Order: sequence, then structure tokens, then C-alpha cells
Amino acid sequence: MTLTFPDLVLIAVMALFGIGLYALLTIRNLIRIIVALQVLVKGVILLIILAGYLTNQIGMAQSMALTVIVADTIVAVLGMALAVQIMRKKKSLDTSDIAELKR
Amino acid sequence: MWQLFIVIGICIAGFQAIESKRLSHSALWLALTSALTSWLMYLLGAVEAAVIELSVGAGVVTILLVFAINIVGDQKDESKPLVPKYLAMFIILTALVMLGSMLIPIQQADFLTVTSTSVFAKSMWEERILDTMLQIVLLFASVLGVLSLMEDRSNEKKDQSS
Repeated sequence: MTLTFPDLVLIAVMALFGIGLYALLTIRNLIRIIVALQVLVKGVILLIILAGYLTNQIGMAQSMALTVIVADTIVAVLGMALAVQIMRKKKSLDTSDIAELKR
Repeated sequence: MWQLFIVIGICIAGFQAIESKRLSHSALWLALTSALTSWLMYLLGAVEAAVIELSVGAGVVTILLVFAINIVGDQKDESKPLVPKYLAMFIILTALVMLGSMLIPIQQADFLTVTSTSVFAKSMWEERILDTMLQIVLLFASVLGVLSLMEDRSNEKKDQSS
């Protein structure tokens, strides 16, 4: 069985998605959560481009990917700004330390 | 099949981005992941999106991450995992099997033979003009939000107390 180029891209998509999801489930550091989100969204962007490549609609796929890149960057930047403010107030980036609604 | 090396590189860089002990190393591995992803996008024919991903993903986001790490301090992450690792692995494997079972048959589907091609500029500025305007508004809103969040209020309190 030989792997074609779309198969290889699909492997990369699944690897990025798996790594990002695993990190989101296991990590508590706020900055690392942003990194994990970035990794996960890179897999999604690659999948959108792959869909455009397979359907011969690469222009539409690129514009959709651009929207995702913009949204992802906004999330990352706002997340970093929040992390900086939380670090100044709570002196910690651990999500369990900053929880106000503790049981 | 030299593209296999790019895929292996993406897997290693992505894994290192979340597993590195130091935050600054994570940021650099993330930049490499972004650069390799944009290379794959270029090979798929998405030239414009690849350039944007390279400049934004590997450039702007990395610079901002390093800036934020400088402020909060490059600390080592030694906290316990939120979910037990074996449970996380089980959830990931289940999600990947479901994703794979949906995605792999799509490649052989008949509906993929679309005859009309789409052009990036036309799609962006004519077909999706409302989305584009919304993105511009969102970007401005996020810049204002970041400016208000980054503001150091400790100096104001000192001024008021004196």
C-alpha cells in the first residue's frame, strides 16, 4: 500500500489534532493551553486546505482558512493578555490556583 | 515521498511544543510546527494562505508568546495533569478513530469532482465580503481589548494613594 500526498496530509492533520486535544486535557498552565490551542487549530486549517485541494476549490478553502487564522490569532492574543493580568494578580498560571468558584 | 519528512517534522515539533519543560522552548517548537504546516499548505496549492500562516503563525504569534513569557517568567511546568494520562489517551484515540472513519472514505467519494475552480481574491472580496468586514471589526476589537488588558493598573493605584 502506497501513501498518496493527501494521505500524508491527513496523517499530519490527525497528529496535530490528537496532540492538541491531548494537551488541552492534561495541561494546567495558561500559556501552554494557548500553545495547545494553536497546535490543534493548525490541524484544522490544514484540513480545510486539504478539502479545497480535493474538491478543486482551493480559493474558497484559502479564504476559509484565513478566517480561522484570524480568529485563532485573536484568541491567542487575548489569552496571552489575560494570562499576563492573572499572573500579576494571582502570581500563578495554574488553572486550579486561579479558580474562584471552589467546591 | 519526500513529503513524509515534513509530516514527521510536524509530528515531532507539535509534540515538543506541548512537552518541552520550558515555555520559551515551547514557543520555538510551535513556530517550527507553523512553518512546516505552511510548507504543506504551499505544496497543496494554497500559496496565499501559506504566506499568511507563515507570517502570522510563525511570526506574530511567536513574538507575542515570547513577549508574554518574558513578562510572566519562563517557569518550568511541573503541575499534575488535569485528567489522568491513560484516560486522556483513551479519549484521544476514540476521537481519532471517529475522525479517521469520517475523513478516509471522503477521499474516494464521487462528489469531489467539481469542475469550477475558485479564485482566492474573488472568494475573499466578493463571495465572502461580509465575513471579511467582520474579521476587520474583530481585529480592531481585539486590539482594543488587549490594550485595556495589558494596561498596568498598579501605577494608577500608587498615584491615587499618594
